[in-house]
Amino acid sequence: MKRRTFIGLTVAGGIAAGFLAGWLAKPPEYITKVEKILEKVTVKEEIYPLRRIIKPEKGWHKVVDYDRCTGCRICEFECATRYQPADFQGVNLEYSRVRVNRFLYVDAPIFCRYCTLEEWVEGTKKAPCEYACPFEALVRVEEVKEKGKIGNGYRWIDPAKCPGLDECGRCLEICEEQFGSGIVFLPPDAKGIKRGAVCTMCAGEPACVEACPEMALRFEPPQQDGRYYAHRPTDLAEMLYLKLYKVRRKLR
Amino acid sequence: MSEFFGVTGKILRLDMSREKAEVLEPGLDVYKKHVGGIGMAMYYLFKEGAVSPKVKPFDPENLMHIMAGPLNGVVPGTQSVAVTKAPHNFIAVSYSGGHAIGEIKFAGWDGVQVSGKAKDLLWVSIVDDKVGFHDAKDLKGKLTDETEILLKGRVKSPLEYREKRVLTKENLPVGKDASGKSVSMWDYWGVRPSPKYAIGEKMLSKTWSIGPAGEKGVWHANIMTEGSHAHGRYGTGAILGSKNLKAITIRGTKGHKLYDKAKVIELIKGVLTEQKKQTRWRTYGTANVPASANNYEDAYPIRNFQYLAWHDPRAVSGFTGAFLDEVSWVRHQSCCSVGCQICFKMSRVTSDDPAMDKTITDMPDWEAQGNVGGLMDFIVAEDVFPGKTPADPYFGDHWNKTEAAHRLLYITNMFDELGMDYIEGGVHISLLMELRQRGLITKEDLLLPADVGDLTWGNHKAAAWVLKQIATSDADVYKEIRKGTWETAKYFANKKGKPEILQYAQCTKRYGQPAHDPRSGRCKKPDEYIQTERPCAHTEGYGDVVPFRAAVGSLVGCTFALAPLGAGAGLAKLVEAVTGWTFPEADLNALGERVYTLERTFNIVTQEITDPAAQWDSLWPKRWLDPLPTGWARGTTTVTTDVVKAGLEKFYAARGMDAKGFPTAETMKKHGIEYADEYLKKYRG
Repeated sequence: MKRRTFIGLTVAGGIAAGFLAGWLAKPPEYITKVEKILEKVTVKEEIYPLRRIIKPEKGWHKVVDYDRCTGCRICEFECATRYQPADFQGVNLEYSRVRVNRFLYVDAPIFCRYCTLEEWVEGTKKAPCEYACPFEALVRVEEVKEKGKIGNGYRWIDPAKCPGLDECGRCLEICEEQFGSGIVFLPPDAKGIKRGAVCTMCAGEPACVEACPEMALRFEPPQQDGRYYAHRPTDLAEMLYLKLYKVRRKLR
Repeated sequence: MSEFFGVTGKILRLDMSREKAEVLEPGLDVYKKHVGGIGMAMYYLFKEGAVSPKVKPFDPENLMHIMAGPLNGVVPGTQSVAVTKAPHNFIAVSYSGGHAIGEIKFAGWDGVQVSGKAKDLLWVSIVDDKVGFHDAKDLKGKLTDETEILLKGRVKSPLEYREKRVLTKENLPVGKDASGKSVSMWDYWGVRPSPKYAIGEKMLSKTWSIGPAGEKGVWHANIMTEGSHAHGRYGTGAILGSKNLKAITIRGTKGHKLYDKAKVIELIKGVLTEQKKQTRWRTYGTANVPASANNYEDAYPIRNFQYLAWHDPRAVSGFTGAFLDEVSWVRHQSCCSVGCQICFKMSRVTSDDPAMDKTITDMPDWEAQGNVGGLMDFIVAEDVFPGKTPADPYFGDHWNKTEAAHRLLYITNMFDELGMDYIEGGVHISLLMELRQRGLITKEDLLLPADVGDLTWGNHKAAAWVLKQIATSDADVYKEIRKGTWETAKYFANKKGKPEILQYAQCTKRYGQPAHDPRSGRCKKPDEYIQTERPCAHTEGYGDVVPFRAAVGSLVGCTFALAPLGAGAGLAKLVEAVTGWTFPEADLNALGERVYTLERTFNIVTQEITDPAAQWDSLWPKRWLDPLPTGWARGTTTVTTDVVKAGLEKFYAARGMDAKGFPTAETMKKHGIEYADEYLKKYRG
């Protein structure tokens, strides 16, 4: 037997013996650990890796993966069914705080992005809409009032204080002129007042994020102030068109 | 008046002659019998006498409907349906996706009926109960997507729009910055150029529009929405154009009223879950169905139906969903309605040819792959592979395939932009190509300029040029060609004195054949094109499926979303929960039979047919009797006159018709449509 053949056989035998030993012995610890994790992981959790690692906390916000958004309006449907008056016999998407502005070939989902002003130059830490509201109707609710609806440090528009679009509407003016278009005005209530409404992030458990079938909406710790995410629908649609189709298109 | 759920109880009638909007209230009994969609439109076509042969398609008395059913609104997987008398003088029933129909329901209407004829081109705005007629001078000749973009910002509801400005420098509070200095926000914000409106940035309106083809009255012009959804077939756009209505832009804020809200929301959630499981549709849409499957089934229409398969299976790969995804698809878009996530993709063309480059369009779907890509044969294009045919081995590489796919996208987009049906349009252009191939017409007949080349197989430049002429030219020859495949063949047959030209027009009941050929017997049956009353429809099935689809068209559901909607039983359950009526599945079938019989009666009456079996159901292309040149089934065809006849006899009996193909008086009575029998009696004899 040549020396090279002998070494070859020995190595091969060693590997075979190793496999045999491994097969006879218990699976190594890390494998059992992975299996245990996999047992727990549902599909949803797998897609939201963050959700698995940290529980949603105060101050998280919604971001949109515009590549994935198909403009299907399921977010609108979820929001409307949750927030519309219980006695309305039907579904009215006007009660949704998310509005998907469907432009040809691109869709711009628009909702409140939680802008804050810079105190060192703009003189306040409030949101611009909150700042412009003379009725103090836009309020931040620190404690959870109604679980899954209001609180946890997110804002809402107190319907008791908001006089409606016909009387005021400063919040949307400031929003649309300088930021995005995050405020919606609801269909007239019993008194005929079109009151404002704003995304409350469902107090930290946004229904739209849960419902999005394409995982285009995510709930994450903020990386930047919301004001840098806010865009007017037409502006956003033009930007997305450029990003997705590499073409500049003027919408107006 | 009882309260309506699901439906709104009101249909908007636009009288274009008087520029007035009226409200039609058919009443609960009529609703329960016709439900909506096709059914309700058929009711009005008979009631208002538009069925009469005296009313010609382009007359102001013809009625155009774009209808919703009880499910339109927040139920996913629903569509709109356009119903009218087609330019070809038969019933036009054409579906479309898009969110406009939901908006109509939210505005409080079950559909729009258009009558009369305006003096000048108009566009109409609908904001809930408010209807406005506006001058459309600036939209004249505009492409469909341009029109929609222009109208997008013009229609707003009072919930998102107000001209009066409230915020001023004085009423804005003053803050203090970090150094304690007073800061006026106005100084920071007010100096920026502010937009024209005080409030009104949200763009939530939806539009139906016609393109230049509809304005010129091309017989297969369509009504487009959202750039690439079409009420494609049977010239609905030409009828809207004949009424001088360029576009309808809608914004509705009333929501969808539901009888049993909790139940409907639960059912909708079920539909959404089922939709998520539709990986077949969600991955490639209808581009999944066809290329490979249909090429193997010998059902792929190629070179004006001369071939039904590229004999080399490698050839077709450029038109598969997988390949298109790799070279052109950009994103997935929701198509039909709120919540629908099934089958739609957007694409972009990247090409060295500046005319084609940066074409942004949809998929293409299967019908475009078949009737544009296959019929014009961009795969074995003669300028790329001279002298080759689909029967030869294919030696193209991925760049050849990319070029073929992009030519297909480019031409499909042209059809959409100009506002024409590419199913009939594909048959139409490929007929001209075959006539050129056989030397039956000359280049000069079509006024082709030198720089676009000849109308040879796969020459997209010539095809694009001809398409543009069809939609816009005032030359005499194009006034004739504008009338579609059948009339073009008749025109050239007469002009050249060659009656054989007629046999190259692949039409059933005088309308172009969709992209599944029945000859191999492995894809569709000939019955599918013959038994449906919408001539040569591609989603209507045959036998008992025909009335079922007519019922779906009255709800109005989407054929591709039928599985998630739970087919018949699921639809009936939804209708019950939405409307509060008792609506067992059997009622769905009864509704379908009723609507089918109305369609049949319409076609007999308006064309004054005295023997439907011989004069109407016999109009199918005799090319089906020719054996196939390529593919598995080469040398054979399964279609024979006897097969068709046997199928029809069975179908007549099942639908309650006599041997000649007339619905009998008993059938009409059974379906409760005696009002239609008044018209039919005269022809039944």
